[in-house]
Amino acid sequence: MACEPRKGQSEIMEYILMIVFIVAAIIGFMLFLTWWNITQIQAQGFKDREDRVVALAQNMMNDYMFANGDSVFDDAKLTSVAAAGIGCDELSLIYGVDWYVNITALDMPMERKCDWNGYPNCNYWSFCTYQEHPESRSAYNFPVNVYRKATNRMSLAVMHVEVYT
Amino acid sequence: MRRAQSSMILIIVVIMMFVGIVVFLLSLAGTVGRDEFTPLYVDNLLLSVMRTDTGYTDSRCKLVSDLVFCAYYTPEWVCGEGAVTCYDLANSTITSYMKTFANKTLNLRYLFTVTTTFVTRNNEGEQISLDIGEPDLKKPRTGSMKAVSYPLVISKVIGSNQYTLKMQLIVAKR
Repeated sequence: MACEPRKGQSEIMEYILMIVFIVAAIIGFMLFLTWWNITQIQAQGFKDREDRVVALAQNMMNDYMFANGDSVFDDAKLTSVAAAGIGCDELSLIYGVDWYVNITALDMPMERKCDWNGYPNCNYWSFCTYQEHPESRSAYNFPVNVYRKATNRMSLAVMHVEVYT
Repeated sequence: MRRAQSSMILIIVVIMMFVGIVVFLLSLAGTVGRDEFTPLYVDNLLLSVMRTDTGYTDSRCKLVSDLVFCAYYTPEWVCGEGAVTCYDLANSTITSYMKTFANKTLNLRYLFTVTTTFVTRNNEGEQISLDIGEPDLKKPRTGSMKAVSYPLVISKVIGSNQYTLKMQLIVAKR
């Protein structure tokens, strides 16, 4: 008879321990799910940015405003877009906002920015504004060709594409 | 005693369920990533290098792709007045361009490889081969993810014979 209250107490303790354990497990699981969700959103954001870099590069490589198709940029077209005042606002209507592209032909020892005065003795074209400290960025270099209209030659070039958020 | 046992079993079942869900979610996260940059990069690199002008006006040496064909078909042909043979010029030009991009981009390992439908030999009687880069990338497994370009085929008819070269580029991150 004297054991009954002790047994009751131990059963209550058992229940309390069970409840504590289950609550702790649920809280732990919720924390894990929250962390996992945040990680997935960050990973998706990173992937979206990477995809946008590739899409932007592909679109520009095949856009007849800059290129003759199939990753061959035309130096005259590049110069006319870069130097004739077609600004980032206009290009953003086609390619969206928050990006920067530069193209460097590797046929000169030094980089020379192309404008009407320098053309065709130049090898560097840039579009939109390079951001020093964006929240986050993705950047890639793509091998391309630049067709030199004046000399009828094909030069190897690097297209640098950056996307910001 | 029985109650304690059933509580223990319940705890173990709950733990196993949570662990199962965690493992499932983590494995799901691992399969989300995919790389669209590398295939575009490797195809563009091969194509861009091959259609670049070498600076020579000789039709056998004008483009890098002409040089590659010349290196296999007439390896001792001298391009221009520089006294450089097709084979040597092809070798040095491709090596230089590949190194430029390997350093500029992702610190890549690369292998430029050519397969032919014909066999040519140099003056010493050795078979001509223009594999440039790291030969171990040809092996099926090299330890790192690698990307292989679409084959670029050059075909020329000389006389009544057709000569075909198939060029490919394999890259892998260091």
